[in-house]
Formats: sequence, C-alpha cells, structure tokens
Amino acid sequence: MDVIKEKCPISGAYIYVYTLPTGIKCYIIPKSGFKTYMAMAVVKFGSGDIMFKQDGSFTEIPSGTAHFIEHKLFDKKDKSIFTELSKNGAAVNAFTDFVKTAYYFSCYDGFYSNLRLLMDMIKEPYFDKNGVENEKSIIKSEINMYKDIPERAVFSNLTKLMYPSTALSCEIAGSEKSVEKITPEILYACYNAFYTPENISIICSGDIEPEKAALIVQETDFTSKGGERIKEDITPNKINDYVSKHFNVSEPFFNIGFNHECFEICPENTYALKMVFDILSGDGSKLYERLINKQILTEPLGFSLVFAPNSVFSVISGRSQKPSYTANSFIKTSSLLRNTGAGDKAVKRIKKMYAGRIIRGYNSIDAIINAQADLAVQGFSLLDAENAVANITSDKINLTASEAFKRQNAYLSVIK
Amino acid sequence: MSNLRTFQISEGINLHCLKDSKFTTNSVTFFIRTNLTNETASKAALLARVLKSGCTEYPTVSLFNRHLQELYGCSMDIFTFKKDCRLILCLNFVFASKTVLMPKVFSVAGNTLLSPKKFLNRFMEADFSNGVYAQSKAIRSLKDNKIQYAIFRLYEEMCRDAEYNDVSRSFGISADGSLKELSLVTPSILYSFYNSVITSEPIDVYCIGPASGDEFKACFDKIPFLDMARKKYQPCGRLQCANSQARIINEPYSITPLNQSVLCIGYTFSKGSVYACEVLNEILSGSSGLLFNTVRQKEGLCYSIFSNILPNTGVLSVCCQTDGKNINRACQVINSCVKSAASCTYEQLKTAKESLCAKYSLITDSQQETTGFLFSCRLNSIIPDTDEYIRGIKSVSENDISGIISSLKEQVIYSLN
Repeated sequence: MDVIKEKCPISGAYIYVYTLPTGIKCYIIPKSGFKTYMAMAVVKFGSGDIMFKQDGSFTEIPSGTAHFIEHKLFDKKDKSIFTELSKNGAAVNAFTDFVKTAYYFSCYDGFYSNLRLLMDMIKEPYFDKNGVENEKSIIKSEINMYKDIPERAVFSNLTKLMYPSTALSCEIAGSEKSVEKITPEILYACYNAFYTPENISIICSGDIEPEKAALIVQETDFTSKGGERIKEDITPNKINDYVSKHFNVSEPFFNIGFNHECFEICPENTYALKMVFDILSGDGSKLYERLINKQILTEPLGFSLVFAPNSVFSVISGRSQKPSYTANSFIKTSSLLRNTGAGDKAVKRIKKMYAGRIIRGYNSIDAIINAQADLAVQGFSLLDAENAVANITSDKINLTASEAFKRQNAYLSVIK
Repeated sequence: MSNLRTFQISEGINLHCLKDSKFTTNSVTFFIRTNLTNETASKAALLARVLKSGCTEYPTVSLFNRHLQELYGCSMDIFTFKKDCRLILCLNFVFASKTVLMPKVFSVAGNTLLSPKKFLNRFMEADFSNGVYAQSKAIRSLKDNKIQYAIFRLYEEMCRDAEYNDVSRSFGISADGSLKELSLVTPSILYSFYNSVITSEPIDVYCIGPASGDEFKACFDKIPFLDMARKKYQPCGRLQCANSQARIINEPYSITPLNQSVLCIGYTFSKGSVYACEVLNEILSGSSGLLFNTVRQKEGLCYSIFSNILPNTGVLSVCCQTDGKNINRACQVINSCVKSAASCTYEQLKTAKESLCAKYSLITDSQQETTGFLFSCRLNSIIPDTDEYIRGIKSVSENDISGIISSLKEQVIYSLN
C-alpha cells in the first residue's frame, strides 16, 4: 500500500492518502477525541454521464440511472445493507450529483465492521425485476416532490437555459418517462462500466487507525469490467435571457449562472473564484450593503461552483423583487473590480476568513468527509485545498477577477 | 459532562461553560427567553434583524461584517425560535480557537446586545425600515416551503381546538410573528421592547470550546448587563384539545394544484416521559422505522415520511408528501402504523433505543447540538448530562410505549393540495 501522510498548513490536521493495489484511493483524516466515525464511498458516476463504450460497443444511459443505482445498491438478494447498518446503530444515506454517487454512514461504535458492510455493498450489486419495478414508484414520487420546491426548480431552469438538450438540463433523478425505461440489465451494465476501483474513493474520519481502515478497503475485490466514459460535448447556450415560471412564491427566487469555459479544475482556481465572489458581493461588500439599503436584498447572495463532466459553472442564488437589477448590479461591480483590482487589504481579510472557515470545518466529521468527497472526484485532497488558501496571492485573485463573471457568460433564471 | 461549569452572574443571568479541547473553535450562544405571543414574536424577530444591522462601534452592515471577517471569519447570527410555549431570542458566535480572538468576539457580542444604534429612545429609522421589510418578507415566505407551511398550519389548527386559557396553545404561533402585529411596531415601540427584554428576561449563555470556564467568564464579565432580578417562567404543560373526533382540513396551495400533496396528521397524548416519547418517535420515524418501512418501502406511497414528537406539549405529528389520489390510503396506513407501535417487538424497541443512545452519545461532537441539548435540559429541569439522558432512554419499556399510544388522540388531518 502506498501511503502519503501530510500535515495540513492551516488546520494542523493530518491526512493519509492511500493508493491501494486495487486502484482505489483511500483518504483518511483521523480526529482524536471525537466519538463520531464516518465513512463515505464516492463513485465517479453521476447524472452527467450519458454514454460508455465497452467491448467496442456504445451504450446510452437513460437519464436518472446513476440515481437509481444509488437507491438500489443497498438491496441484496437476501438482505438490505441499509437495514444491517441501521441495526448496528449507524445512520446511513446516499446522494447523487452530476459527477458522483456517494454512499455513507456515521456511527458511534462498530466502525470497522460497518466499513466492511459498506465495501460489501458497493462491490456487488443485486438488481432484480420486482425490486426495480417497486423502486420506480418511490423515485417518481421523489421527482414529483422536487417539482414543488422552488429552489430546485430555479436551478433546474437555469441548467436548461445554459445547457439545453444535454444531461445537465435533466433532473438528477431523471424524469418519470426516463425512469420507466430503466431495467435491471441497464443497471448492471452501468454498474459494470463505472463501479470499478479506479473510479472509487473511500473517505474515513473519526478516531481511526488509518492502516486498519485502509486494509479493510484493500481486501475488497471488484469484478466489474469497466467501460470508457464518453463525455458529452457541452456547448453553452448562446441566449442568456432569463426564464420565468409562475410558481406563486411570495418573492422571486433567482439563480445567476456563469459559464466558466476554460476553467482548469484545481483547488487554487476554485478558491480564487470563491474569494472573488466574496470580495464582490459577500456580506462585507459595499454591493451587499447598497442592495440591503435599497431593499433589493435582505440576505447575502449564495455562491456555489458546480462541476459537471466537460463543464464548470457557478451559481449565484438569492431572493429579490428585482432579480434582473441584482444580476446587473453584480455584473457591473464585477466589471469595476476588473479595472481597479482587489486591494491587498481586502485580499488579506478574505484569506483570513477562509482560513477561519477551514478551521471551523474541522469541528465536524461530516464537513470533513463531504469536503474531501468533492475534492476526491477531482483527484485532490484537503491538503491541496489548504495549500491553495494559504498560498493564494492578490495577483491570482485579480487575474481570476479579470476573467470571471462577465456579462456574455451570464444567465438568469427566475421563479415567480 | 461533569466538566460543565455554571456561573450565576446575577439573578436570571447564567453563564454555562464546557471545556472541550477537541474543538478547533469556541462557540458562544446567548439565549434570551420571553413569552410567545403574536406580538412578542413579531417584535423579537424584528429586533433580531435590527441588531444584526450593526452597532455603535460598527455602524454599517459592511463595517460590521468586515470586522467579523478580520476575526478569522467569526460567524455570527441572531434569530428567534420557539421552544414549546416560549420564544427564544438567540445570538450565536463561532470563532477559531485563537487566544487573541476571544476578548474581541465578546466585545462584539456586548456591543451588539447593549450598544445598538439608536437616536434618543428609538432605533434608527433606516435600520428599522430595512428590518420591517426583511421581516415581512420572512413572514410571507413561510408558505414557500410547503412542508414547513403544512406543519405550521397543522399546529395552528390543533391549537385552535385547545382550551382558551391553555398556555401551551401558543406553540401554534409562528416564531416569525404576523404581518398585522409587525405593522403596529414603530422604532420607539421596538426600542422599548428591546429595553424590557434586555433588562428583565432570563438570559442563559453557553460557551463551549477549548477555552476554560475562567477564560470565558473573564471575557463575559466585561459585558455590562444590568444587575437586576429577571422574570421566572413555569413549564408549559401539555395541549388539551376538546375534539371528540379528528377534524379533516383540505386546503388548496394555490390555483395550480401541487404535484405532490402534503399530508400531516396531528395527535395529542397525555401520558409518557420525555424518554418514552423520544423512543416512540424513533420506532416510528427512525431510518428503519415503522413509517419508512411500511408507508414508503412496502406501500410505495411516498418518498419521504417523518414524525415529530413534542414531549412537553404532548403532540405527535406525522408528515409525508404523496399523490393527491393516495391521501386516504396514506392516512389509513399511517394510523395503523402509529397504533401498531403499541405492540412493538422487543427487537424494534431495542433498535430504537440503541439508535437514540448512539445519537445522544454523539451530541458532544457538535458544539451546536451540545448547546441545544444543554439549554433544552435547563428548560425542562433535566440534569444536563448525556449519560443521564441515555440511562433514561435505556429504561423505557414496551409498557411505556403502549401507555403513550393508549392516550393518543387523532386531532387534525391536514392536507395541502
């Protein structure tokens, strides 16, 4: 087992990165003193994956397949791993996004046996016809439930606007129609193509013996053949008008999307972009103060950077009676920042804030695991993230500001 | 939690400190209790917004927040929430565990609470107006979250059926207050409310982190709270409804029907300890609970279902989202699930108790959850110790569960369509 043990520069935490002979990467962040143990299996297969090639032939993936596997992987022929883990006192859950499917548990004791169960679960699927048919009604119910949530609808409309007719414009859970197409054969085919050791990362945290956990992960054999991921050619829409859907909400919800066409995925670029956003419109910015005093905003804008196969975009979210005015103000301020640059004082302050956030993140096993999960899919670790924050310069932030948040890359989705 | 230290600062002001070196931050949380009425809820929620807009030392939103950013991104929030029949105004800080930061954060806390921006005996017009605008939006937005709104409406309807003098019926009031009450508040009325809250209501402050009790106290002592006796509150008691049979309420959400109806069923009960109530809720709502296994897995009626129990108020509610056509079936299945908990197996009881014991054992891994647990124990006059609580949960028997179920009355069936 190859292992790299490093001390993170801001939090002082240690991280162990194991590259196992099977190809699985295992990230272990020990936290002594905590009683919570948590492990997550992250599979690089999400709703953004649309096709794979195996033995010379291409297979199209119906929308919602990654999410369907997430639901069904817990069920085995004669037992449910979900129930087994719950019986052991573990809290269990899973989620799917554009690029990954993640399965996780947290527990108070029995961590190593629960980790074995988690590994057993992902190494062997069992998809039977009855089980798949029964699950369809639950998933359709989930899809319909999301349709009534304005926060989801505004995001969904944004991706439809930015990337029409691509996998990104579809719901992660698929549609009632696409879910109907899913069969045990399709689930097995996708499992075999994507649930391979090189696509899997295991992340553990708690008062853990790193080597003991890594050995359990190493013992797991996978029989999946693997397939070649065929990435969708994603070209952003040329029209950046806003879409609006009558939802009867008390105040409009909006998402401003920015396509980052040439974004090279690495923690330094990610943090630089986040910092630029905070300088522009975080709760300490003049823009936020102005919009509050004009009664256009009442809460700070939210920011998230979304990674999908072949594309990266940021989403600025909020609620306002004047979404277009807010979006225009943000874009104008961004253009001003391009000319003036962020002062050293502001950069220093924002860096301090991010250092504080990183330190705070180490108070929660759950936060540690989730942060590492996002990085693992990109091939990075929490150490890389901390190094990026510690070493980021004003020049880097100003360079990022000069490219980001331009009007020609902006899209606005509004739910009224 | 043997290392919990409580300092009585004055009559009605208590500082509770828990040293725990595993945390990388210190957290400081102020809880100010007051009565829950539409009037106090509206004023307190507005007050939280006005206090958040800055203080005399940092008079603008940007100066205030930039100062927090300089303190290694110290997080700060002020908000209100309700706990049974009481309203709580909460001010919370979480900051990196660096020696230099603590006095600065306590100074911000003191300034926020005791030196708000004002002109004579009223808050500044601009802050007040921005606060009213934001708060009226918050009140209106309750309806934007269908589940939250349906639960609020369920409780509101249940409280409507309660005896007029029953103090516990106030738990049906929204912690955000009402537009009507908000419209009656002026900058001077709000300032007078603020003065009364800050000088006469009980304050509990919880500090958790690597710093010692003495370090926290030394900083806290610099906040010049008035040394005068504060109000004392009695426990709230359980809701008494006079319904002989359940009322059925079907409400349209808007002109366009929802894709999924929200179904909420409210029950009252008169028996059972806090511990037994928690175990019953876990039997019903846990990740392998009766509701999940039956309503979702076996019947395929919904994706998400959960129950919530308020032991002190004596209210159990079950909520799910389902197709409009499945409402009647879902009601039947939920009711039979709830009743079947009376005859839960030894295995179900054991699983529920183990799951709760694990949950309470893990509370000390979170500053926020530990703070919530300690404050909740204080409100309910329970020993503030997770081990003690776990012992209480372990002692729950099948008879305790069937006792609650036997006193259970279905009061309101509410659906939002």
